[in-house]
Amino acid sequence: MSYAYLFKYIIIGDTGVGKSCLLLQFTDKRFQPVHDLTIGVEFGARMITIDNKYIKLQIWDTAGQEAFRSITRSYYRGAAGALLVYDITRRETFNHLTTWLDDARQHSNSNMVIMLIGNKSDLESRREVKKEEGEAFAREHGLIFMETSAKTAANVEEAFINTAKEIYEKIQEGVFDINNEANGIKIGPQHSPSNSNLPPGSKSPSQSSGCC
Amino acid sequence: MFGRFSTALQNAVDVLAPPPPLHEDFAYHWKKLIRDYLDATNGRRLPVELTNIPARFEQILKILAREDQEIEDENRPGPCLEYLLQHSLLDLLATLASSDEPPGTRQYVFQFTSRFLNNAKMQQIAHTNVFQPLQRLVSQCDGTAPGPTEFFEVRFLLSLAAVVRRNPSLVPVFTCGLENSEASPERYRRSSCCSSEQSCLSSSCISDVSGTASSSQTFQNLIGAQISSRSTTPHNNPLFTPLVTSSRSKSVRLVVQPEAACQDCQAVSSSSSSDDNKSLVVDESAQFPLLDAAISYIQSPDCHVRVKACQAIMLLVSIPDSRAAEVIVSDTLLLSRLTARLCDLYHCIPFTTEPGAIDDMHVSWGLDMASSDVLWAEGSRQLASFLAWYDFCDQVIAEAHSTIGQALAWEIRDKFLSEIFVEDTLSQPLAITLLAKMFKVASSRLLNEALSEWLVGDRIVKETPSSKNPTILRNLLSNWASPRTDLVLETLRFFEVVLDKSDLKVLDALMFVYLDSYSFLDACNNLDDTLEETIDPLQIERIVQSFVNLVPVGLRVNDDGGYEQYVAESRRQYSAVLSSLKGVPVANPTPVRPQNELSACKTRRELFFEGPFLRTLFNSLANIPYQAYEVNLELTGIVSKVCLRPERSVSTFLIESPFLKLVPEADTLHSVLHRVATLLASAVIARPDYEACLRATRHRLITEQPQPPSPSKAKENEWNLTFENIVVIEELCKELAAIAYVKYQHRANCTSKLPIKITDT
Repeated sequence: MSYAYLFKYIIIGDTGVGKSCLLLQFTDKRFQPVHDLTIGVEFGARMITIDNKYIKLQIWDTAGQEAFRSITRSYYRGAAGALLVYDITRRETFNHLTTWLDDARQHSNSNMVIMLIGNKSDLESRREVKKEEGEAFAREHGLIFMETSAKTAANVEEAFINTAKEIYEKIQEGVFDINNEANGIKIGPQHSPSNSNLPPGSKSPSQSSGCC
Repeated sequence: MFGRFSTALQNAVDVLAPPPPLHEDFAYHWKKLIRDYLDATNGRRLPVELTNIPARFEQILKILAREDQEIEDENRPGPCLEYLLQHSLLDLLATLASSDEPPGTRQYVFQFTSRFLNNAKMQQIAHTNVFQPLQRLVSQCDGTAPGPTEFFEVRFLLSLAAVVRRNPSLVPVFTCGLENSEASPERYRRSSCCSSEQSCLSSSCISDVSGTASSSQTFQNLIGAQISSRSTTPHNNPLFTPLVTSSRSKSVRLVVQPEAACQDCQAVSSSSSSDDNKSLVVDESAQFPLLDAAISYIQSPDCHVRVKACQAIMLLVSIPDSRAAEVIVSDTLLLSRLTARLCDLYHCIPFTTEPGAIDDMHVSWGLDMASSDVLWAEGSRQLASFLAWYDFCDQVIAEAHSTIGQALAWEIRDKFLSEIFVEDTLSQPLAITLLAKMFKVASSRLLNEALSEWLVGDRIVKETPSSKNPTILRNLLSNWASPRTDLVLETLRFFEVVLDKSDLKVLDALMFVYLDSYSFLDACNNLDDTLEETIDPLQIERIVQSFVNLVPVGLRVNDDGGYEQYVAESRRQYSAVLSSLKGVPVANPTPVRPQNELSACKTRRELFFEGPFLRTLFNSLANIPYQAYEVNLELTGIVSKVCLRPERSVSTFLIESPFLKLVPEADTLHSVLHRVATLLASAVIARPDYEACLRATRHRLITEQPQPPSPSKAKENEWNLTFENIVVIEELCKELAAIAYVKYQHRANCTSKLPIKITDT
């Protein structure tokens, strides 16, 4: 299945906020309560539709620990969207958002769409960060905001898809130069003159995930 | 009533037959694993997937994870882990991986070990019965056998690299003089000085059931010492005793540490006496097999494997430890392999690659795998591989310990740039395009410095007009006069990129070193007046008009406005240039030479030489009537970039020259442009319809309508070219007038006490 556009995303935020679980829920529609620590950067992909157009999302899930920053900084470049995740049950993950945002803004292209995500909304009883605080932070820094639960899948689809919609609108408005790959956007292969000879063994671009 | 009874009954059952403790469960699965192994290898060659071995691994990991969750004292291993340590289970697994019996086992061992590492604590890794098997496993990873196991091997290396990156005090454990042979005698000797027992499948596997392994001998003492002293490689550490029989020949390298690194190393290891500015790395036993193993996978045909290997390399080079950095620079394959791959990938780029494809391509190493998704044009895949690898090197230089970053930047300068881009290569348009791309995308400070040094040399030597030594810069400048339009164009674009980079060293070599002494000024100039800061609107107007008037009146077509149309764009560009000069005072960026030094010029004067760059630029401008339109257009881009430089000497020489008396040998921008404009005018002025032709040409060029040259009308094409060049010159003069306006307006605003009202046009 060919796509009209390909968007590249990164998922960033402190360790243990549920970045890998969000990706797994989005690509495989399942939840894994015990997840190994992400080492370096892992990869997932899924096809969505916006405006009756197929859009392929390539998502890089980054390790949250400081020790991995030397790797993850490379992935900011060339991303069209970023999901910046914190854990509503751990105040410190919210307090670190400014550092993450500075790092992202410094190393990414200026048009990158950033979605702020307060994850683990199912753990209402252990909540430490009010929803209003997330909203205020997003407003102050020009981000989109959502609370999600990778466990119950609440808002997970929406988080990924709304980010894509925002990028799509920016393309329509001409903000993103789609011919500049550094923006993290590619035009689908049907626009390419030689799409008939796919390389042998190339993976089906339908819903798939794996690690890179 | 009944409920209470059943609870009591359950309690009684639990007392009589409680669920087996975790460690018993663990031992059970382990013994079963061994039994499965023996069954599977007993004559039959069953693939591992048809045995219970994968399921046993899974069970064992689950039990370890559960124990980890339940454990209260984090510093003491739980009974399952204790069992794993005491019975050298990882050592057995390393042997299993080595034999790969039953077929496919190897992959499961690496998978198991990766996950074990991802959850392990530092104290566990430092245990003799853990790090030794890990070293054995590392030595089994050499990237020589592409296949399904490769991915699990490299993921294991990445997991281990992550452990070491998080715990730099483990570096000594993994930078030992371990030879890569499994049966290396050194290894055994070193092991014995750590008083650990050897275990191998034959001796302890079967007896494992009866538990013959001796009690755990930990490396805690060593690690404790490491942490407390924060010195990463104590000299009395048995791990660092030189191995007499080391077969590996080493090059002794003098590691010069940059200041930043030096401060760092003093902070980290103040107790280490050899940590001075220059430390001689002669530790014959030091090696970093983990890094060398990761490097061996960078050429894998599988991009997933390559990216994981790169991630592992990135983690290890960024360990904040100056000793580790020295070992990596001196005793691993990092510098040579990374640079060699850059050379190899460069040579793979087909000659037919379109320069446009190079300009448009944006790749970064980490997104390498995405390339499988994209259908590249001819040659683009090779190009993408090269650029992705260049990006990786750039990022390594940016992220690595500064000792490594500097060493790699120099290695790339000496072994890639200097060896590939030799005289012959510098006359190939594709090579020049790639050079321009490399200059453009380089982001790390050290790589940019290395590029600059390659281009203009370590030390700037002022050349004379008669200098004939074939430097890189001279070779590139000689391309400007080439009859090959594509070569000229690509070279001009390269210089445009270089000027955009604004590297002061390069600008010094191109211009400043020749102009900063103001030796182009005749001695009769009153230097105080010449370098006067204040400037009034009348002077600005005179300077602006000096450019506008370069084009003879008869050739000027002012239909679409004069220089004013360029002012806004020039102002934007000038602000960009100024903002790129961080920390340099904007009003007067170049300190003016003291007066007495200038006076000295009066007594004994050397002939003025504007330098090879400006001379080539003037020559090319003079050649405008005989050059292709595209070349001339590109040339005007260079001229305006040069004129936008805020340095005072550049402005004085290039922009103010009509109002100064210069030494007789000095050619100026004004005189060159004036000669060209006059020459072009004389060529067309005899034609009665020249004004109409000029208008038509202007209209065509500005609306960017292509006019394909028709071979039947050679004469007409020649005329077209002349008219096109007139338009180019006129527009260039307007742009230069606008630049002059913007610059002097800026200076006036900065220096005048009374604000000068300058109307924006």
